[in-house]
Amino acid sequence: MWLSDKNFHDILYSQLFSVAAGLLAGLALFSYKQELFLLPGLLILLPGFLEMRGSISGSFASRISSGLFLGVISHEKLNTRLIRSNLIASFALALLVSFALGTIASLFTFFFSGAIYLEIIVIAVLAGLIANAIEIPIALFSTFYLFRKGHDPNNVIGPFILSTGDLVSILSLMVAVAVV
Amino acid sequence: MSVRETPEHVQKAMRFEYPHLSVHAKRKKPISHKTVFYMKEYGPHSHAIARIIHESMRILILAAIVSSFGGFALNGIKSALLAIAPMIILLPALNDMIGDFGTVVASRFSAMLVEGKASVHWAKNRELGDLFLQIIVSAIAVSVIAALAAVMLAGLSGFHSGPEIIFKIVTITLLDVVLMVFLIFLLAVFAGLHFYRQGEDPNNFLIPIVTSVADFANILLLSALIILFF
Repeated sequence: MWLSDKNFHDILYSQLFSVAAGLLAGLALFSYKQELFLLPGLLILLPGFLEMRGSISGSFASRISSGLFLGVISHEKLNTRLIRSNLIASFALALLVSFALGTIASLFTFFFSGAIYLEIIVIAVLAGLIANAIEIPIALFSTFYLFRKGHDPNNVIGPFILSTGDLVSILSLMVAVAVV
Repeated sequence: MSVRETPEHVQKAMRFEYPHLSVHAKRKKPISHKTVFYMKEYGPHSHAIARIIHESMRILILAAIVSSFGGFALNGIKSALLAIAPMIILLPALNDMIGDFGTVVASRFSAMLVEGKASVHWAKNRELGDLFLQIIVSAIAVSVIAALAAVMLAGLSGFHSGPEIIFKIVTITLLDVVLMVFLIFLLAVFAGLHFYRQGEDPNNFLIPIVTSVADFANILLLSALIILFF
């Protein structure tokens, strides 16, 4: 019966954790709303930026999980060619996508308000670097930890990455805005 | 024809030495779809970095563009958002929830495809059916809890909501999440089958596609529901 299924419990509990973290991120956003509405393009950047860590760290964790299930990645060894390649590729993607997001937000701002605000690109790249430097290692270690504990990382890692990612991303954005 | 008589490059491809020749090798010799998939990304001589970047880049840029349109829609309801404090608090949690369900469905369906458990007859797949029931029940339970928690947190921050506002916020959250779960499933299944048929790793495509479309649709749906209810 699916209600007593371990997968169902994994999904439900990880969702409750995710919602709790999401609400904390919401509170941070609520306290940060003045800056958010004042900086041109930041609200346009926000959904893409929040979504990016899921697409990159989530795909990264999903590939590692597939590798663990296929047996091509050993759960006892972290420093392997496949894991290194995945880490390098994920960081490169994070940099490129942050730059793209910043550029798109800047173009949107220019086309719809006529204002040129190139700092948004620097904010996006800097925040992307900070967020992914924290998120990608978290994704790797959590995937290994969950697999070793007998869980299917696919059920838990997505919600875990996305929810911790929201907090990390909003805080990274705040740091980047403060620096720039 | 024995393996010895096959050309050198086909033999090398079959020994996983030239992953980029995997499709050619498949054409020349009866190598299974799963082997080709394995050779390209997980094989001992795979060019994993180039392959991941090459496969993911286009889709991530597309996802960035789609999400930015979502951001633009969000920009359009910013005054409404400012007026309803629980919705600002709820926004990342809702976005998370939709993204979480998208990631779970996409990664579980990718794993089903890679392990050969899912096929074009997805409607009769019991494992997929169970996954749907698990997700929809979790979605309903968690969205009600999230909406009530957001109202409570907004109350602690000085925004007091009456019963009517609480009802509206819970209804908006429930409608949004349930409709989005249906969309996520349909998208994951059809896109997953499409990419798997193309010989690509669904892990590289499905999560970015499902989460970005879901995020975008979620913001549009949420904006429409906020306009409708408030």
